[in-house]
Amino acid sequence: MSFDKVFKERPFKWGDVSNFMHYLADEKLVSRLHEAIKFKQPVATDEEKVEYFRRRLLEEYENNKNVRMAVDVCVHCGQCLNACPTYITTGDPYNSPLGRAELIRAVIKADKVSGKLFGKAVGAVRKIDMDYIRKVYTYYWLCLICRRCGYACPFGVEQTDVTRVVRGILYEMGMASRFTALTVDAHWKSGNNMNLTPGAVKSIIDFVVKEIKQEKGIELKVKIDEPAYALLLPSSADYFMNMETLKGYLLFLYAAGIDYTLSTRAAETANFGLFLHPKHLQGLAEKYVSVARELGVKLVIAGECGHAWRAHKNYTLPRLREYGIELVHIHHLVAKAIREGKIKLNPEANGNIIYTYQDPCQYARGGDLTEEPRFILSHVAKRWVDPEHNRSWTWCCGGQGGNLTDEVVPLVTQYARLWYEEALRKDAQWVIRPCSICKAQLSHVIPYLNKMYGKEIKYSGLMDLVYRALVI
Amino acid sequence: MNELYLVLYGYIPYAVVAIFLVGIVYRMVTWVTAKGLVGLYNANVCLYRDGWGSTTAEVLKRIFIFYTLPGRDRDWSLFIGSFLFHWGIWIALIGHLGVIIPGTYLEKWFGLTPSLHQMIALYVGGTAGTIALIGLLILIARRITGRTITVRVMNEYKVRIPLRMFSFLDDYFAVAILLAIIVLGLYQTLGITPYNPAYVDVISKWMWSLVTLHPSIEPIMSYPILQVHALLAMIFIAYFPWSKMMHPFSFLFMPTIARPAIKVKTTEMG
Repeated sequence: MSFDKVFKERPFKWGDVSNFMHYLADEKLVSRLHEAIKFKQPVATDEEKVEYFRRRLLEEYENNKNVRMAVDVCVHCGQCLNACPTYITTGDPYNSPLGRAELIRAVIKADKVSGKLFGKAVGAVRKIDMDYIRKVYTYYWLCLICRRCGYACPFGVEQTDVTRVVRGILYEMGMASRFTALTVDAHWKSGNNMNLTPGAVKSIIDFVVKEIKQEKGIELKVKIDEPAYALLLPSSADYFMNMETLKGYLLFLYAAGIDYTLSTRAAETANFGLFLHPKHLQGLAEKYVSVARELGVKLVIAGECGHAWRAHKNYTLPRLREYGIELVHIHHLVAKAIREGKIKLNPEANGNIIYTYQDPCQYARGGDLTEEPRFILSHVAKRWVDPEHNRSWTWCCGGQGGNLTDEVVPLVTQYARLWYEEALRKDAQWVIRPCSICKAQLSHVIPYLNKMYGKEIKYSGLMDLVYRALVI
Repeated sequence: MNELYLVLYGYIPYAVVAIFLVGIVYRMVTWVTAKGLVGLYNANVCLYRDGWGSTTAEVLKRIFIFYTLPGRDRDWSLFIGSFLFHWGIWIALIGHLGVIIPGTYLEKWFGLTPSLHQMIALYVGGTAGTIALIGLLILIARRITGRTITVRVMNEYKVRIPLRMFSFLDDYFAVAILLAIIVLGLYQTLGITPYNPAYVDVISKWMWSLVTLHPSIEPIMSYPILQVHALLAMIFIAYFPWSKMMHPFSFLFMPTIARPAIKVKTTEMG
């Protein structure tokens, strides 16, 4: 299988996953990213980096409410430990919300009076050096940013917020995960994560339109870069990895009579800035805002992608509203069309398979999108089951937060056991995870999991089923 | 010697109250003035909670009924321990009003006769203190013993909770001092008051002298248990604002709880 070499080179060991450090982006790549957000890296030597890390962390502690309260309020009750998929499946205490938190609390504590007086007894670190920072880098990039810890914490302390801050500081020092850095770089350059050119987007849409004609007997006219009521943002992976999902968007929007356009400048819905640095999150989101304004749309429709939906709902949407533009998820539209009787669906088209709906973590924890997909599924599938850990307690696919990168596949295969076993527990044959990262992660790990458990679980998005069920 | 007692139990209590109030305000100000949010926006830790009514309800539910504590994969020790400890402490604290206000005023203002007051102190106060003690012992036990929680999917994942690894001097200091305060308080309620009905008056004479700004330590001079209890309480009260004991106030400011989520409008869709 495709990742056999990584499995040999980086074996998984219970209790210690420090061998899964993400590859670092090279200097050239990092400086390109810095240019994109007009940031000048202030440190070069190890000594400068160590001091910068300490100083920036203290700055964030002073000025950032999430960080301040996380450090001030956590009483070490441990509720986050048995909620965190990275800890449950690896047993490495540092690969847990509390473990990660302590790595940086130790630095902050060292600067406080109690830390200066009592040192290690109150958890203050004695010495910060590059080895310590590499440890921080390793474990902070292994966090899935799935937010399950925040939902478990009685005080709502969300360690993933701290994760994002720490990753941001590391990035400013020139330390970024290569995979995420490459993805963000591609997005800045081409408007999408996969470096799709405008020509490629148009050719793929031509191809997809032909397929729909063959399969459904309808010749769609798809606007690209033209003024329309709505702008559709599919994930760039939908253009070649999840084509059934893409077909689902196009056919549904035709059936519902919505005037929409695609954009070659925004052939994407993702925002990997979420995993890297707030300035990249902001910059990439602003690209969507400017495309929507240039096309004069009134509505932006986000495609199936969990982290993208979280970034859109919480950041892009308020920005779009400043210009009188609304933003919804494609599932909102499908659910509404079903309720209003605008579309006809035949669940028989999706066979007798037992489907299971597994909430992408960023829909259920940060996106308020759990009921619409279930409503849709109940109209497009004859049989489906909810997992025991559903909605806010869903398990992350294992690839969120930048962990789709090849060098950690043996580790994230462990992370993925939780949702996989959840499907087996309900005798499901097909997992629905309407998220681009989930689908990519499943393509990596399902061959290994199927072999490990001797099963044949399949997967797809939800719009794939809508496509098959739509009666035109 | 008397001067030392006077300073300790006559003047320091004012300093302690001042430190407590100023400290709480200071800590809250640091939370309010830390205006930055991770990633420039805010995401909640509750589903579909986008109104101020539901947000307020969420804050109150978390403070008073600890409804999130059993977690998804039921760890009852934290829920039971916290529930017993906090409610026991709150009831006991309300009961302390009865030792601050002199008996004559209690009767005049609230119709509380000395015998009724004693009965309430003994039964309600004793029960509250016992509940708080049991709760605290559960919380201490779960902190110092290695526990394992079972997460059931298809297989069972035994999740070790190594709390000792992540507990430090400040965590132990807070629970140790609380334990001593509760044990001594309970001893006075159940071990002294029933046999010495005037004991409550002794305390209230001292406390009321502090309230009326005419500190008099004479009433408590021959009660060492009370002195230790009061001393530990003063240490705890002064320590409170500078420690994690501030956690109950955090609910009012926590960005993931105390703000409604952004609502998606699904009414106009072309």
